Amino acid sequence: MTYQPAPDDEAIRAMLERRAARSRPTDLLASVRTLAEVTPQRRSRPAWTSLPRREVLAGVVGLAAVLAIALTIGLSAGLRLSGGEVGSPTPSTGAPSSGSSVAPGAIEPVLPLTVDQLNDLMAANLQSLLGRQLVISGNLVVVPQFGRFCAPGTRCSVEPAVALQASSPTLFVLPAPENPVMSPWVDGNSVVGTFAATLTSATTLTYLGRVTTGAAGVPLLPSELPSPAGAAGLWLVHGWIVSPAIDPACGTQLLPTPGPASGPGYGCGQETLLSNVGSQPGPSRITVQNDAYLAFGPWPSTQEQGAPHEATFLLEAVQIPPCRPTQSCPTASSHWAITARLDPWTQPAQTTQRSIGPVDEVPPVLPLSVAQLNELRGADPSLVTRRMLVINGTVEGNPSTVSCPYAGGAAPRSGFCAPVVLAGSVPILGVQVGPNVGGGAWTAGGSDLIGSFAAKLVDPGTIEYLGPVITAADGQPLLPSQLPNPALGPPYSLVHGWIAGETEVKPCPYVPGSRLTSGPQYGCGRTAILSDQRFQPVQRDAQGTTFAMPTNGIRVQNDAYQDFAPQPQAVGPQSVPQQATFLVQGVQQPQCSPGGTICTVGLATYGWAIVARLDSWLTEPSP
Amino acid sequence: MTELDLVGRARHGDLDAFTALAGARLAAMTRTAAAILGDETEAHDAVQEALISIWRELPMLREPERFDAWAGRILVNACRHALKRRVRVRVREIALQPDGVDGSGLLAASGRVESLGQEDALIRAFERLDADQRAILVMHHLDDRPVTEIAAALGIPVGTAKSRLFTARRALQRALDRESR
Repeated sequence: MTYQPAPDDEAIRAMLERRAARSRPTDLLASVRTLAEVTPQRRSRPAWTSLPRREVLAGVVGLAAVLAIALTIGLSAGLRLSGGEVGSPTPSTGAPSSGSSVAPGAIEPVLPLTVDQLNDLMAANLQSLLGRQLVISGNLVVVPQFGRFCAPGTRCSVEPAVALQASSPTLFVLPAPENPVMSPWVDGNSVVGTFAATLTSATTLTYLGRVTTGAAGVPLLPSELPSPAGAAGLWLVHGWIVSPAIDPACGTQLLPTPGPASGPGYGCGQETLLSNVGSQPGPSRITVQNDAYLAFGPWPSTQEQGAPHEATFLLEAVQIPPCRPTQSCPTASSHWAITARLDPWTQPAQTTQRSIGPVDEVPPVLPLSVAQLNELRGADPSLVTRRMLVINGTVEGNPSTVSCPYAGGAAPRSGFCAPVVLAGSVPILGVQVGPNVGGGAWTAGGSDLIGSFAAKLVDPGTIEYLGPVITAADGQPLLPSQLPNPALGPPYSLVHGWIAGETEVKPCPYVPGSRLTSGPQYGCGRTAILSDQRFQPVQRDAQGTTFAMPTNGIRVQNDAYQDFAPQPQAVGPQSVPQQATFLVQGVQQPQCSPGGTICTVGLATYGWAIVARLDSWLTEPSP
Repeated sequence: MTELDLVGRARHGDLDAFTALAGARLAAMTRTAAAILGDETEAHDAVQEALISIWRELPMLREPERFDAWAGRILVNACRHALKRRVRVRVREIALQPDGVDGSGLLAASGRVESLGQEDALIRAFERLDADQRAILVMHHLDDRPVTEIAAALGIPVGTAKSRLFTARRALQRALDRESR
């Protein structure tokens, strides 16, 4: 080794001068000023912070209780779509400011989120908002591009940056990758009003489009919608969704399965209407896509199938291609399609502490901390390799890649040189985005991803990121009854409850032309449930056995008891309920008739599927 | 209007006052960030991030007369974040000819070439230091700030500042040794 003489002060100064000389005057000040205009200042903490600790604690507990109650009764709202949910408040009074768009029933229409409400929701539980679609009323301000401006974590581009005014932290708005030209700010104009967007990271929204509402942001009535021909953007509508029956003219044409849907269907199928009133769906109604009731109707389904249900929806106009000759469909034309439903915010992760649940016989399993993962990998790497893990940590850009060699321009993908890593992992774990995830939260805006997520260790230096995991606000698993509608989308949820199911396989009647699809099944087979308390769903009497659903529980895929119960045991047709912590995911499945005796295919519905069981730091692999 | 007045007004949301404060410090902040980071683009990003943080947190500043020290700490934090964000291969600009030296003279002047090689090694060694070590060397050697002022800017006791300065110098020496392996 050669030891260098110590650098003298002058050498260090010259070196630093040389580095400092690389900076040149820019128009940075103008960019900073524009950003400051959309960045609210943080004000002093409230006076209660100076109170004695016990009083503060009492106040916090009380405030939390009030907030929980307030949120539960609908101060904010949720909307679902194939993967989205929004929060929005209900209006303080039922009467809107104009004569139009009057709420037709007992349920208050849901209004778009204000920026202040969005800030509050993000501060309360950011994780539960990630990946969700939001309807927001606010101003999108174009931040001028002075050659040196980028959204945080992204490299500079020629596009101007757009921010949601008064959002905290500042939310930068990006165009949807599949449709960048729909960005209304390409001409440098700001957007004032209501729009839909997906929260893709802690600092970025992906813009989906403008939303048309009635006066003062109140939703329109179905009868107030214009003709769908030429109607642009998204429309906020409050009304009654109803599904009278399967169109009898369709006959058996439901079978065979038409295959993967290429878009909404109209005509033959489960007709769905949206009406001004629930009792008399007269002329003041519109037809929306088939099966919309199944996707956007009530959840949990406490009403008779197809019964009128009042809610606020997001609609868009769609063009339908010509139908097949065997179907009695209308000719190609424009139609209205529901893309989302706004609900009063009941997302359990937002409001509920699991500690209010029943006493556990088996303690819930919490996500792995990074320290625990390090310990496991150090003890025996095979314990965690190729297994599904639920990790609570931070995924961030790798601060060390500057020192990495790059052969042929291809960046190494794992370990020390991975572009994205799990913070605190030792040895360092690179993070890859798994299939069907649509990009990690860090890829859109470059922000760190903080919280619980599902992943698999694919090699000693790499984990595959599978998606965020929803938990209760205190990080504990949810109760089964706290799970939201599974149609909400791909994020996983962590749930602790009792699993039980049938032990005997029922014969499945053959339906000509029908077939079972791949993936979890919910029709013929051994039905399984997850419930808050110990529950035996298989009831025996003199006539035989019947299957009952618990009041506080959900149905999961067939055979889930046999696949995921810690120690499956059968006593005749009854299983022994067992308590454990599970990772569940909402999946789209074929529709089966009640009781599971006849399975038809072709009508989509949604269900919860268990994908893993968490056992004392580890989860079992999917079967 | 004094600097203290500007700080006071900016604390209460006066954007013009904040712009005046920022404008007066922009060049110095950019110079410091560039020296720490060695990259103009990242330096501008860091300065922008720091100024927005300053704006957002200004109402929480309890001692307005210590605005500059407080702002300096925020800038160092922004530089630290910038170093963490280096997730991609950096494009390093290589000057075809050093400042003030023409190409023909470069090859001829072997002594100058040796000097440039030493400085390059020093730059590479500096790149091995963490943000705090870089910051204290920049404040001491580039900004000529006394240790007491450095201590105030970093929010640490004078003794700790001296110790950190010594540690940074030693780390630079070790990094230089590693560069010569």
